[in-house]
Amino acid sequence: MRKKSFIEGFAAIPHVVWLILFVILPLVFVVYFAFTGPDGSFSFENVANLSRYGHIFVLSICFALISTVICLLIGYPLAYFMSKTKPKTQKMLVILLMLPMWISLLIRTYSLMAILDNGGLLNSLLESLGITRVHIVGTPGAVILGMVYDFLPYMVLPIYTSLSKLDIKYYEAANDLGAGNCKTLFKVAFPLSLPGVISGITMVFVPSISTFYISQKLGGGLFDLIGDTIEREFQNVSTYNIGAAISLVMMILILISVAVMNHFSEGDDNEGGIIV
Amino acid sequence: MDKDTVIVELKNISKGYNGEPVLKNLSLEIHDKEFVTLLGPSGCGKTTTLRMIGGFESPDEGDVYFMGKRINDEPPYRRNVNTVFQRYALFPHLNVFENIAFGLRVKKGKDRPKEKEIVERVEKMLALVNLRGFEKRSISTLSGGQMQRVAIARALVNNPKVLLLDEPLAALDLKLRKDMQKELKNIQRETGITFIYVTHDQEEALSMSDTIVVMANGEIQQIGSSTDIYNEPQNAFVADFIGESNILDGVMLEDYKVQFSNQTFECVDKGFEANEPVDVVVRPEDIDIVPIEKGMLRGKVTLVVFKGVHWEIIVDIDGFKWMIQTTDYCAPDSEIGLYIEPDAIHIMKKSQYSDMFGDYSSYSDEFEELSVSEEETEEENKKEEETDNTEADK
Repeated sequence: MRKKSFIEGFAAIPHVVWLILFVILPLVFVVYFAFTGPDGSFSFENVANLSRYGHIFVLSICFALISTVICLLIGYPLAYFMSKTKPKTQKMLVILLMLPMWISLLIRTYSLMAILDNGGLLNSLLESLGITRVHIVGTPGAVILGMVYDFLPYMVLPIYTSLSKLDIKYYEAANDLGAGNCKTLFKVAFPLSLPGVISGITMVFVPSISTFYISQKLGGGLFDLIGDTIEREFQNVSTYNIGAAISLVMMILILISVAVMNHFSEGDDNEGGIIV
Repeated sequence: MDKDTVIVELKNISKGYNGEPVLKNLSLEIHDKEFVTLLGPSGCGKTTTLRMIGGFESPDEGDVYFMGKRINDEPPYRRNVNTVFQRYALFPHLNVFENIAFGLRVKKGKDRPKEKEIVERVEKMLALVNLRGFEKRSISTLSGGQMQRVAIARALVNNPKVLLLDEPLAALDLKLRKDMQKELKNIQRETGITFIYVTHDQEEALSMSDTIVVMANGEIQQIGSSTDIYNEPQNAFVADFIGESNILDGVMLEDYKVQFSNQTFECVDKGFEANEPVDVVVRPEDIDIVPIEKGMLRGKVTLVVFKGVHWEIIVDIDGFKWMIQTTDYCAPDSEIGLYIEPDAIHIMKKSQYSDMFGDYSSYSDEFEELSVSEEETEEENKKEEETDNTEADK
């Protein structure tokens, strides 16, 4: 037994080293920079001055919430539809859904821009059809569209996993008791797939709130979000510490929202929900 | 409605999966207020038949009628039929009360009872299945037997005309199963609802049913009361599947005279052609042991097994191993005589199943299999007890 635990401990070393080097150490740096002034002395100033970024936080949270809700509204029916198709079709649909994820987010955002831009594909098409151009890039809608486009698979996949693992007997039992397909969806399938919904929400909300290039590119630089602000502050050596402080606050924000989400799913487990 | 009304009728039903036929031209009438059991080995099509009545399968050919109306294309939620599923399929996100109330809450518009009535009806059901006080319990804290009761209550609260039960007791241990059998029978009598019950357990079928439908290979082998099925099996399959039986090749010499084991016996059957080959069934409990010189048949005891109420002994007669159940002990290797009353001999026409059932020469193997499955049940019992204990602690 001892020998085995020694081997196990040995096998964990690379992982531990990795964690220390690339997770814990950077975190320590962030905290260190957040609480030091430009001269390297301890200071609360960075954190205390964050209130002037308040509107940025609010705007980012709004954008993230809206795109999460839209992802859920589009993603849930899509996942439900996928889980109801034949096993072969399901596999194909999952691959189709994952396909864009094999391409860098940055490239996807650029290509979306190429389509939506004032001189882009969509507008050329509209023009050739004799319809007036639409102004999309540079509107809040474009930023949200970008977020939804980029993060939708992260909503669909966990919900789909939840639904496809759901035993068909629950659908049959609900049908048997007089619930039509719609009532079965709302009263049985949805509550039983809540764990998937919650991880989907988390997986979309977290990257949405911290994203930076989507709003820069699709928002035409008009909307300053947290991600953009952090990037800008870090590019300037003199505002390193402010960037660190914003990062710290954002991390805490994300931690809180994840904790709230986990609390929901735990509550569901107590009721005998299905764990993803 | 009285007992003679046909409530469910299946007409010339055929069904196949991937070209494999599951049901072959099956026709069946089920009468109102009856306890009907579909009995057969796994893969015989009994569950498919049940699911067809519930609306979860549609026949490739043939029609399903409910109270005279063709319901082939009616979805399950529009049928006045409810199901108790094999593994209960209780909703894990709802407590006991809400599980039972589910069927009432999903009713549309005017049909949906008021909250007060829902509470009343659920309480009535909880009383019926002896689960008063369990309203707020979550499903995951229930034992198998309790889940079973919730499943029954959840189905019955909708006042179905027909209740379908798909091997509902299969997951319970022996003792609980026996109790639930009695309880189910009582519930059926009290409510007067037609029960269509699927099982592979012949004892369960015999003790509960008004009518048993024996199925094999997607076909009905025999329909009749428990005593009909046991005493007058239609073919070798039914004789073998229901209870223990010695099935022998025989020849009907003339009315009331049959020959098997190189002997001629008097019997009570007639209407066969002269010298027609037949299957002969003799139940092990109908054979008397007599001193060897008085025996109609003589043989050597090869195996003796104590079964509690009786002994089961295997006797070798001219190479054919007979099973005999007796309260008289016989020593292994002793020579004994057998005496069979004429009315203990049952003659059946030859069928496709005639040569599929041999004698009891493989009996000891069967016995081992039985003891293995008993061990498994014991393990399940233990689990059951553990859940019960944790409940008591709470």
